[in-house]
Amino acid sequence: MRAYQGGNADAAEALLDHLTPGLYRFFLAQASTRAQADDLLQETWLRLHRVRHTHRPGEPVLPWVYAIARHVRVDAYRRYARRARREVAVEHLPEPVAPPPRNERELALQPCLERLPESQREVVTMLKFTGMSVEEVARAMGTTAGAVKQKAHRAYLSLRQCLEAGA
Amino acid sequence: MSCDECVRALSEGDRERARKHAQNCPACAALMAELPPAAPSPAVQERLAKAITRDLAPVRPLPGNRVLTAALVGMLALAIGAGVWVAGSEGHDGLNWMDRVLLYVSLAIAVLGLSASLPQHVVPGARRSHGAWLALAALAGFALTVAVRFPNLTVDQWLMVGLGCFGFGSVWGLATALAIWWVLRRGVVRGPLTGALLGLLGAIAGLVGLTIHCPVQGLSHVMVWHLAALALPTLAGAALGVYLRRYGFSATSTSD
Repeated sequence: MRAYQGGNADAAEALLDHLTPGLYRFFLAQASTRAQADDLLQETWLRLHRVRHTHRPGEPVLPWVYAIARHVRVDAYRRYARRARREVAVEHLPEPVAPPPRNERELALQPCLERLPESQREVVTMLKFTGMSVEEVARAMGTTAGAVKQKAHRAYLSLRQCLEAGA
Repeated sequence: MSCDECVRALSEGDRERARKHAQNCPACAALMAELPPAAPSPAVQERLAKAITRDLAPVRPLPGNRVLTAALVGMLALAIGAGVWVAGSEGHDGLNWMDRVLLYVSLAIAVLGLSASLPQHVVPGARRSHGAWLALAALAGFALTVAVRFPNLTVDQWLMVGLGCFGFGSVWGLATALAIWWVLRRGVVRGPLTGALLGLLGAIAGLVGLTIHCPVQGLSHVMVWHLAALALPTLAGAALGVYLRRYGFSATSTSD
């Protein structure tokens, strides 16, 4: 991170390769389509690049990265909500492209994930898809470790109930 | 366990055997093909790499919390000193030593609490401090001191005199809030809470100034007009935070 702040291109690419898969999984778990996840990923990296000076040497990188990623996701959701309020429904729409076929496990888990409240879904995604610790997730979300554990506990209970109901 | 923990739990030999099996077993290969992709497309990654490496000037990291806190306290001392130099210190002269200790200590705690907390609010993912709560408690202590120790005087032209203090304190607070924003300009002011805290810190400087300057030490005058002067800079800061969140991730965030 320090080398990246110093203008080292190799360090920038190494950081990009290291962080992008986790960020992508984070957005994919919250976004409806791959294209949306791609857009969120690009916007996140542009912001990370623009405010790279705000990361202080010695501080953990992941909470900083995912705090910015969360802001990007929330901002995109707000933009979408504002746009949807201004849109007028039309009667005839082209047929949507059928989503790609999914395996059984994914079919079971994804609807259960989507039913979770947004904050619980975020906590589960960050804990399980990005490998962050509870403390790191708490910092990324601007909350306490206790609150993160509580949200995670409730999310796991809901997911278990949902999966058992669907089985 | 997370996905990464599962992978790390396997030995290198097990991982290699799992990879070879996934390639040769039709059922497992089909399952892997349908799993969500772990990474974006190569085209997206290439675009990102180009965008980032195209503009890769070295940047100076933000100073540490202590440096920023000291800078904020210094800026506030300057703002208060300048205001008192212009407006005078009749208020301070009219207070007895006990009132001075109680009022100034509570205002100092409020200033220090917010000055220590704000630098963490402008860094994404920073550990949050409880300085803002301490500042609010200290302001409550200030109000309690006034309620207990100030007499309920009859003030001629209570409204006009009060509006004068309200206006003076608000302008003082707004000007100080702008100076605070300058100190924190390289951070990320995002959202109404950070903006409101920034405005409140400026407003507290205005309250300190009013306490030192204003000779009208009646209970209702101070409780209504001096404390009301906290509102405008705080609301202005919150509005700034909303604006920056909506129209720009951070208009103040620069690498300079």
